[in-house]
Amino acid sequence: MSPRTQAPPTSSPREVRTAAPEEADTPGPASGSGTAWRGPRRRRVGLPLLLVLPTIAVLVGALGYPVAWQVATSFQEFGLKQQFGLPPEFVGLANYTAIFTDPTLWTILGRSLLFCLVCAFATVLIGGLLALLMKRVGTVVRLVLQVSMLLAWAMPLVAAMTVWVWLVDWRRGALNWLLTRVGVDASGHNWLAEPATFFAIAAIIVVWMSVPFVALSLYAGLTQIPEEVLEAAAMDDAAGIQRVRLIILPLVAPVLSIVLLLQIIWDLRVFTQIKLLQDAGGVANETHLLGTYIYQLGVGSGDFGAASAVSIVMLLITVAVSWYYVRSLMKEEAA
Amino acid sequence: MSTTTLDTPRDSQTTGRRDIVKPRRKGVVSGGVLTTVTWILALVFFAPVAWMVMTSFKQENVAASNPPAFFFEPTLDQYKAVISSDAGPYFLNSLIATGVSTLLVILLAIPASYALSIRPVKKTSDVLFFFISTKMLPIVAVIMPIYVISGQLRALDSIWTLVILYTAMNLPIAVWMMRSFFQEVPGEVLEAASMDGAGLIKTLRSVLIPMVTPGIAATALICVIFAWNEFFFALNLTAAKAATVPVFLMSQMTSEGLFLAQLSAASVLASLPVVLAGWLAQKQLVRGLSMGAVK
Repeated sequence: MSPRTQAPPTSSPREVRTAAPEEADTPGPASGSGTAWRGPRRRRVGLPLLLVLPTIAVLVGALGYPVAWQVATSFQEFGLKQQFGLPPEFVGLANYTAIFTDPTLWTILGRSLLFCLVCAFATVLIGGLLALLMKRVGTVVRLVLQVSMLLAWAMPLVAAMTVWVWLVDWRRGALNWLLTRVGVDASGHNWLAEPATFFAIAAIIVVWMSVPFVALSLYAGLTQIPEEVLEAAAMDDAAGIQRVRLIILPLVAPVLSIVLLLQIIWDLRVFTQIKLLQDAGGVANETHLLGTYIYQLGVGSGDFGAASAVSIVMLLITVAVSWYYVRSLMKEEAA
Repeated sequence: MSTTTLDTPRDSQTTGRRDIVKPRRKGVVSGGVLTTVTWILALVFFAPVAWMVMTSFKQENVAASNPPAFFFEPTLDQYKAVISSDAGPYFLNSLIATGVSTLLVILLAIPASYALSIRPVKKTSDVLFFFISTKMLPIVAVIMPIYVISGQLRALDSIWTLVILYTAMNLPIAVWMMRSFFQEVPGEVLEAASMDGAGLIKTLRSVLIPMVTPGIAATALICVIFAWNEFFFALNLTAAKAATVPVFLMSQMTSEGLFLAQLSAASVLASLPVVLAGWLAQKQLVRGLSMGAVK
């Protein structure tokens, strides 16, 4: 028993114990911890909890409580009057029946899912190809690409959007100018007015902004593959595509799936790009995705009950999608 | 099998990207073509950024010209205009929200991630589970409660509301990331410290923290990027007093869409701090963003 395992000088053991009585007597060493020094010290499980507690408190206070509020509100009538002090009225499932019988929700839900899946898969595909490319080319050009992607990624979304909005601007945007130059008369065409082209542009922007993270992650994953494996594959004269499919893909599968899931979750909640494109000339009512729809219901129309119900639907979709991701991370944790 | 990559020994981290010798494999496509393609792709990512920087050095009439002008007399007028305009308070707000929240995140995350790194007990994974699940939370789905609650607490349009929210927003990532750094500290070091009779606080302060300082710095930089770029909370919870740089940019976009060059200059100024942070943190960036899944 080393001194380190005994009560730390600054906090009394009693304090620690009262903070977490059920923790203090958790017996026995945790198995399979892997790292040697974690083994010997026991019986002071309360202290780690004490160290984690402030962090948990902040998260519960700033995020957990709002979620609870959200769930409660989704069963209430909560409009502008309630915001100014009138007690909210419990209405049971009325908000849910209202939004689910409104075809708008289904349209937006389908549109959001489609948009999110298209963007996420396109992002991961492009990001994966870029990662493979980075593995093949020389150092200089690879660094140039990495830096360019880093710039595109780190830039504030709103700042990047200023450029994109200008690019597709119908009066003086570069897109129309370029199209006209190559012979397609596009001068004065507002691409954002049509939902189809609106979402095409939005998807390009979203993918452009997300590819750097995916490419850099997958590249990092690729560099973790032992060189011998790749060399052996090259030796066997496996053709490029085969090599990727049979050797590289299985090895980066964990990273790939995590990146894809994160991307789906992020693309489902996309807000800023859509909002700014709507402001720049899109027809808001025809171009809502879940994020902007909730925003419009709540902040726009003041119908907090309905907005809460839609939020809960979105929350549940996110939980369903991320369940696998969280589970796989936890499994890794337990391993 | 499926976890092969994730379970690679920790010391793979120390190998670093650069030391790995790229095998020059003879593929179907020649190296020259691939290099050219890579240059073009780099341009795809770089061009919008470059365009923004270029436009920021133009006069407004040049910036508005159609076809776009590639050759022009550069001017600093737009930067002067932004600096002398009312942008100052927005930058100050961003600075406070980013700086204070990052500081809080680090102060809270050091003990928490240390505690979570030492012994994996059942509770540890519960806590980690809780952290990840808050990270999965779509913010747009909790904005209304936060809006209403802040209103009731008379905390709307206050920079401190943003500080608290940014702290909460960045904590899960920070804890996960720093935990993976703490785990990399070799057990022998801690054994030695305890032999010397160092208590927990002393071990943390004089042994552990110095060893993971680069990791803490990278974590802080990533928190800086996220807090500085955060737009949604700022848009919804602030008005005239506490608005941050992204909100300022948006107001410039919608109300003064005609002043493209000045907007570009403002965007460049808004991007500088985070691009710098991203540059400094690039090696650890991936690990932080994937919550340690990619090392």
